Amino acid sequence: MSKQEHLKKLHIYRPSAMEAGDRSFADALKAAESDAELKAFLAREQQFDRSVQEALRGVPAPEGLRDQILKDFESSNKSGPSKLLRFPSLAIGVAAVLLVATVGIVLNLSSPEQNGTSNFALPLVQSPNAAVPLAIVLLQDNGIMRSPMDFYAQDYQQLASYVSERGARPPINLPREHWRNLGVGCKVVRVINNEVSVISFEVEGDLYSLYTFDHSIIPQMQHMRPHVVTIEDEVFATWTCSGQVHVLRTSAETEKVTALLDI
Amino acid sequence: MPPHSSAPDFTTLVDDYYQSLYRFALSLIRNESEAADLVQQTFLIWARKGDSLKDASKVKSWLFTTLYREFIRSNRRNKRMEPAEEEPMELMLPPTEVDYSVKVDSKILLERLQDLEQNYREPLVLFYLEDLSYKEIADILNVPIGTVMSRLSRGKTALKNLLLTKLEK
Repeated sequence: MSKQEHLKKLHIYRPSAMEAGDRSFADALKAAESDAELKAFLAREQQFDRSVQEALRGVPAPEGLRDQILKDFESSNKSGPSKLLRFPSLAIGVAAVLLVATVGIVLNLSSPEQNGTSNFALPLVQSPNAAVPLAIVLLQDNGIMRSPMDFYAQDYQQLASYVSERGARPPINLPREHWRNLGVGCKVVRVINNEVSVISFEVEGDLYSLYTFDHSIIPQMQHMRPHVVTIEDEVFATWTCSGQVHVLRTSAETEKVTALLDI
Repeated sequence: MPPHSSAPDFTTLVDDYYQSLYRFALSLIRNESEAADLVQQTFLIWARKGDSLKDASKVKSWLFTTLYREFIRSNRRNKRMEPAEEEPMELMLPPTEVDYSVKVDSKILLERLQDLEQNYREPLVLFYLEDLSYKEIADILNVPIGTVMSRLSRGKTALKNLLLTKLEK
């Protein structure tokens, strides 16, 4: 092995000596013991490595991440592993059934303990009003709400439970803390898949997420102007435009949403 | 990280690896909340499938591999993934006689890492972050060991130059 080759090997030899037993490094290391230039080179390299390693390991993880992971685990354990999540086709099938159930029943989206939405009803899927819960179910179906933080296995179970017990109201009352994952104040566009994207943004301290997907996904949804509905303390505005369906979701007051959309 | 003779309990596993996984995710994604998402997703997958891992010594590698695959999966969806080009196994020689003894700041390091091509950044972060062998890094990134070494060499040289440029400014 030439000196140049030794240098190249020493260049990627780590301080932790993970490669100590690697024969391909042995020659270079042996040479470094007796060659002052190689020795100095190795020392500089290792100093650099240590600095980078230290700096990288000094990058802090977000506060609360550990607890949230443990909380997620606890939640997923309570519900048990979901066959639906393990078998996507089954999930789609079940979701399709739920979708039919959702739109096939005359729905009253409000229960007695709720306020503000007591008169919202969905008589037909063709009705523009149907678009909002339809879109929400669709978002769940497509896994958009299935990030680790905001959609778990039990959500399918909750969905089924809501359908059977309360007339097909999807479980969308996600805890506010879950908004964190949507990127507070950021302007990042998260393209979920080829068909759906979500943009999260903040306006005057309120968090908004705008889901956009191709109109062909819900062909039965007719062209509609922005329609706003409040469900479980969250406001959903849905409209179609240029072959796309938009769902704006937020915990802000309805007035703010209508002002934002200029409707 | 402490070794475990049998599969560690979930809390121990989280304590051992969530920070390293987050740093790796952050180097891939460049967005803190999305990196946190990715780490959470990784542990959720572990919660569902981890019991299928028979060799407890491979937990770390399994977690990093899972996180990376999840990242790739989401990137494919996004169609933002740059096509990986195989480069010949070639180790680059760094500039010599340059003093890198200056302490590297974490924030600056992250910025400079983001300036590196993804192909170089990925093995480099794994190289520094955890005591993963070249074989493990190769398995995680699903590339040959020779490619890992080549990318590490080039990546390290590029990172040095980037940091040096920053220091000179």
